[in-house]
Amino acid sequence: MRLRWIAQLGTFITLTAAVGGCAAPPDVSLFAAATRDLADAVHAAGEETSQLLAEEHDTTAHALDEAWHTRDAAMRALVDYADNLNAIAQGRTDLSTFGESLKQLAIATGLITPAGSAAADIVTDAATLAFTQIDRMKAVRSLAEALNAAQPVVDAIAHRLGEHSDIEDLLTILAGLDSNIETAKLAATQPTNDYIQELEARRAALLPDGNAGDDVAILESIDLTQSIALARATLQALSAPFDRRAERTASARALVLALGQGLNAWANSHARLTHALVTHHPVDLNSLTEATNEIKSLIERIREQ
Amino acid sequence: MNEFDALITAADWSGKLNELLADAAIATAQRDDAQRLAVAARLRMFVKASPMEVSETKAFDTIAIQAAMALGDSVINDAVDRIAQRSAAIEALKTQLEDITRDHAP
Repeated sequence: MRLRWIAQLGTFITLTAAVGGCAAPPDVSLFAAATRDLADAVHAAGEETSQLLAEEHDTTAHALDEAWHTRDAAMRALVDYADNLNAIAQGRTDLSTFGESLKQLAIATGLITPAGSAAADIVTDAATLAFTQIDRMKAVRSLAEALNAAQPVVDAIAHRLGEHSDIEDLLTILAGLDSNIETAKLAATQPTNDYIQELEARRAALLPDGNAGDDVAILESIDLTQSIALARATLQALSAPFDRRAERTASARALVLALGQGLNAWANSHARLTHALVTHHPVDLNSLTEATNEIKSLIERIREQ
Repeated sequence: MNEFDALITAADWSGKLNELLADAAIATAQRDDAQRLAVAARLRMFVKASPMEVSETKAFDTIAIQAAMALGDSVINDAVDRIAQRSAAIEALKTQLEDITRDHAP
């Protein structure tokens, strides 16, 4: 709580200084911190989906784990890029390192979407985009200029990571898991459901149309009511593990959806950061911090489940 | 009124199951994720709606459950395959980009 108050005070002081015309550089550390949160979220989304899968399909879960390493590597490069940006903004690192960090980011992400294109075209497009922009880094004289040059590359990377098929495919895996959980629950509970229906039909036949019936019918009806209650308790116990798994897939789905929004917010914030550095205005990273705060709380919820 | 309300005899239920399995085969052949999951949901509805009085329904239910599970599995496997294919493509691109970068190095 105290830390949050101090952080808010720090933000207030930064904003006040900038609004007051001191032309303080934008606070890039918030951007770097949000990038780390996003990298955690990408890792958590892959890990959680894989763990849910492992309960049904060990081999498929392993295949997803293997494939997800590429996304984690891309996000690590994104974190390195943002950290380097922050170090330059704080004067801890020379501007000449910016081109190299952008190049590493371009290499780690493959830059553009491979789906549906010939590999040769992809390499040409990626190489053209990367080398044109990285070449421009050699001539830049300020961080603002460097960020301007980086923006097309960053947009392409954010598009690849956030809007393209990885998010959709994680959601599809979770939808498939939901379907299987529901099917397995039905298979496990249907005999008990049928039994309950049968008992209820027998009880209804004993006391038709709300008639009191004779003593034997009443006693038998009481027996049946007890049996129905027991069967319902059994049904609940049988359903519980499936319901818990369904809750976990729902949480994982919420995380994946938030992740897609977070990556888009990241690219938009990069553009705002560039604009702020060019115009010497404070930067508004609220949408990014809101997105990453939501992501952090979703990850916490998943870890508690 | 749902698609199972008018079914009475074992032959009716058998016919409906055949129809669902045919729809499952089409959705699978087309690799249509949404359709596959929609047919899986209809198969579950089939199991819930099938009457205990028709003795054959237990066997029908078993088939419907297996088919629904197979549809879910195929949707999951295809999505994991797509992610893995993109990973492989990115890894290949990384290697090629590194080669080009080395060639362009001063």
